[in-house]
Amino acid sequence: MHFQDLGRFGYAHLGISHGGPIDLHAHCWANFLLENNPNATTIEISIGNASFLALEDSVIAITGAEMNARIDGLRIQNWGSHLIRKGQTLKLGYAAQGNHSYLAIRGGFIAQQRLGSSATVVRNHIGDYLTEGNELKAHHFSIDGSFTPRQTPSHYIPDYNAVEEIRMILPPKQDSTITNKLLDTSFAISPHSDRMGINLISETPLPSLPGIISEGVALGSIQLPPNGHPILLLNDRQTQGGYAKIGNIARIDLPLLVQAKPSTKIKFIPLSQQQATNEWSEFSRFFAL
Amino acid sequence: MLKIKHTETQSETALSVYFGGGALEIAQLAEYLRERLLGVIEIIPCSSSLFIEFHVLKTNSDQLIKAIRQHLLSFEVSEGGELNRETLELPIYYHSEVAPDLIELAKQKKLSIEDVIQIHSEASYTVTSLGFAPGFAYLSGMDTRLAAPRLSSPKTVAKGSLGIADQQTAVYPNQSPGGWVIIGNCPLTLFDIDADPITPFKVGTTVRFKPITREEFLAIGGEL
Repeated sequence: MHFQDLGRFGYAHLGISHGGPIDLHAHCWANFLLENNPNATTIEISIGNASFLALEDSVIAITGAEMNARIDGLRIQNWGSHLIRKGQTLKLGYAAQGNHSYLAIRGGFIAQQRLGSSATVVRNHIGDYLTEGNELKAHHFSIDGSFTPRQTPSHYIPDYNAVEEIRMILPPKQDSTITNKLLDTSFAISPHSDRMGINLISETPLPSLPGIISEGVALGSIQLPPNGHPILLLNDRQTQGGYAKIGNIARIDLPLLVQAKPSTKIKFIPLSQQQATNEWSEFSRFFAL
Repeated sequence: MLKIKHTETQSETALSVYFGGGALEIAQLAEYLRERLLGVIEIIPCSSSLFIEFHVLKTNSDQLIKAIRQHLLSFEVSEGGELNRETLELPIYYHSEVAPDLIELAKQKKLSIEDVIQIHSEASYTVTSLGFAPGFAYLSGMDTRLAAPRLSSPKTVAKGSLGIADQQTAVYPNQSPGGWVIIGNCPLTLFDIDADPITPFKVGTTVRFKPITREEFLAIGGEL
């Protein structure tokens, strides 16, 4: 459980990872429901089992993985905003669907800014996990008593249990043997996955490809190490990599991928660069990123 | 002189421009472009390419490639501005108590430990790129007699570890998983997010290593 904003940008040439919410869609919705700036700091809660005691009346939102949130024992809706009164307790259980949940507060959490961002990147030694007893503060936002709960419209709420196909962009001049194998193979998400990357396992490994001269790696890059088991690079990835790259996950589909439970079987579907760009532009415009 | 060999769109928001070599010039070009390209989020100079990440609503690959080609012309005319001539001397405690692979490397190379230390610390190195972790500087210029492949599986590497991988050498600024062959330890802080600059390395910086004793290592703040 840790703070995230949109990420730490402009320092990758010094080796600093972007960080940022691993499920950008859920983070953005949590802020959107509260009319916060999309860069407002939220708390990313992975796997679940967390509780928060309200020290003041606050308006919060919960999105992402289904963790059966309750306020003083009463179920509250996921993908919604809620009023929590001073002295009440918000409890999240273990994720029943998905892996990562977002807790936002009206005004945004106050978190230490390092190089212009509150994003926690533990592997860069920037920020740390939140632990029991940490006192959380929010930027001031008065509650005038006229709170109206808001809810993400149902057609924007993904079904994380139904993740089967992930769309990706193929490199323009890739050898068709690799492409065909990649598209024909059913992969399982390895439990040995983290904010740096998701490891995929398949019965038959993909053909081995030689490494390349180290170069920049994009979010969602599909790397193929010599063992033939692809690694999908995520927010806390290293800034350069030397494994062969055999495609890139469409950014719009990354939230589904990171919310799929370990062992989920996925297949890749090709998406044109143009279509991926169009969908990503639409998302960016919607949330004013 | 830099010449674009080819370009490749990496994702909706990322692009690589390949030059096929010229790490130092690529780094200079990156700084030149940093002030001049619009809609860009990151410009990462790599050893033979430039990686550019951009904002999808502000620009696109085609626009950026066109702009880079134009800027490349004026960059060549201006000769790319100042060459980085900084030199950095890093104290290193070359000893098996901080370097788990030193003895094994010497054995493999049929050299004495003293030889390994001498060969490694006599050379002058150049930062060719920064990456992998904050403040992790890839250094070229190592004597081929010390070249060694990465370990078969990564292990936890201590802060300050000086490693070798193929013909490159580098210091791990922080504890990290890593697969490089560790031959020494640098007691200085090489990445501090609250400092300015956050790392002393820049592409083009000349780096020299100075062997120090156990006492000196501890006095500077080295940890065993």
